[in-house]
Amino acid sequence: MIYKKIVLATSISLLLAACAKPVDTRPTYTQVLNPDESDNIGGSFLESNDIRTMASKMAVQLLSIPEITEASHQPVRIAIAPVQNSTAYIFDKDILSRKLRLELSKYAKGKVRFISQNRASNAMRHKIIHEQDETAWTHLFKNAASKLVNSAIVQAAKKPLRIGLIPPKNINLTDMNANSFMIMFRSEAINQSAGKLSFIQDIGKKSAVDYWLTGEFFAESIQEHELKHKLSSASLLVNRNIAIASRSEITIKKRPNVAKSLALLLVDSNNEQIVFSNLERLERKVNSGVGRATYMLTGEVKGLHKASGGDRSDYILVDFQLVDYVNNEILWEDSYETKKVTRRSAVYK
Amino acid sequence: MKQKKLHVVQRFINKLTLYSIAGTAITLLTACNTIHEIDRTDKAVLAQEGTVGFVRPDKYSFALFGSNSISEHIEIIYENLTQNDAGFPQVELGLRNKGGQKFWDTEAWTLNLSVKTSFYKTSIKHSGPTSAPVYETNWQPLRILKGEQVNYQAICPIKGAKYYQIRLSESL
Repeated sequence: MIYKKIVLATSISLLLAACAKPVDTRPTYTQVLNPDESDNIGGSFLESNDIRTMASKMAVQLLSIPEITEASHQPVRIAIAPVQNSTAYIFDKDILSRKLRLELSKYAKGKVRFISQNRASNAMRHKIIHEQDETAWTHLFKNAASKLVNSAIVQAAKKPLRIGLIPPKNINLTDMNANSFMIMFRSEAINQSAGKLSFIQDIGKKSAVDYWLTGEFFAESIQEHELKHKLSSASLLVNRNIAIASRSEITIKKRPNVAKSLALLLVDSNNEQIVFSNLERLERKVNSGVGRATYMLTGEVKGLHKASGGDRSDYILVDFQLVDYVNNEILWEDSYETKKVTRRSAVYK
Repeated sequence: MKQKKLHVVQRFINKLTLYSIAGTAITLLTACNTIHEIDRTDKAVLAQEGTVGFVRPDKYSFALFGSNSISEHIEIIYENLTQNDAGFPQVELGLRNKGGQKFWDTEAWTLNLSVKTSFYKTSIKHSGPTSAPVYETNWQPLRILKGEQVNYQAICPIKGAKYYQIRLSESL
């Protein structure tokens, strides 16, 4: 009898084992969704699925236009203008152009390039370029010293030239450590001159020097308005492209993004005539790069909203255009539209 | 003699018990496996798959008459693989919402679907997909009003994809 029971129990357990199914892996608190899935929260505005579909469809359409497939100069460079949001919703509108850019970059295979317009990465770019420029300063001073030592005036001198140092001009304008530059240059000039130049420490004794070594910093392309609102009564000469200022009380933002040059000057102490001049570029202006763009991608989100009682209806039209900025012609245009009705409105961010 | 017979039966039952216990132990021990072998799709079944397929519904509604998914309400009007002006593979699928066609399902309603197309470079005609697709669209919403005919279009941004598979599902 006991055996029968054992056999029965075994058979039941075997049958139960056959009915086993995998453990339900759906999470209890946080559900992980595919971006194409509906979250069932409600709302009648654009969803992640709409953004992905729009980008997927538009990217391939854009890659098919002759301006890109048959471009004589590849890659075609595109700058992205901020998307304009004309709907009643407040949301991160750049998500649309970002997704489109991602799709294009993924499948363009080098035909299309985008100009990075990310503020944080541009700040890092400034740092990298400035550090590269700073690294080049040693080489730059070696060249300048070599030019001075090999200049006719130094080579023709029968006895060592006595040179005094005068602090350079316009250091406030360019935010440069002028004294360091002059000392670096002086040091390099002494090394290369092989005794043909002797620098006098005390600049108070005018009779003790044959020439004055000085410099003048140039900041190219400082915008006029940038200076105007920062200056009160400073007397300086400003022109649209070049600003030259005497040492004054002017203050300017720390490290302005302009091309900075230093003119090294050797001045005759008797007649104050400049007998040697050498212009060196110390820092480049860091451009955003959009000036190299071939075309401009721009877009707008428009909406028609309707609400009654608890119901809400939204017709949304997303429109993207590729514009030739030279003549303002629209080369390509595509749209994506949705219309949704909901009984449960949602807040979009 | 009777005693001997009883002994034989008892031995048989003992053996049966032993096997049963062993079988139960093996069955239960399988639950302790850390790695399980996964079934491979039957290649013969894969080879029979068409270029357009409807995925099964969330749940079968009624076993007797079946629930052949929304495919019952849809018919394919045309299905073309061409190239667009830029030379990219382009598939076009004409779908019509014909409504219910059976005596137990006569109603027509607007269908909310999700469509996804996968493009392949290697042939899937007689073998089914044997490699990863070179491009896949996302699951795109497709709404077909009752009686409406829609043209679904998918373009592959990678040239050379000559094969495709379209999957249609209830709206995700």
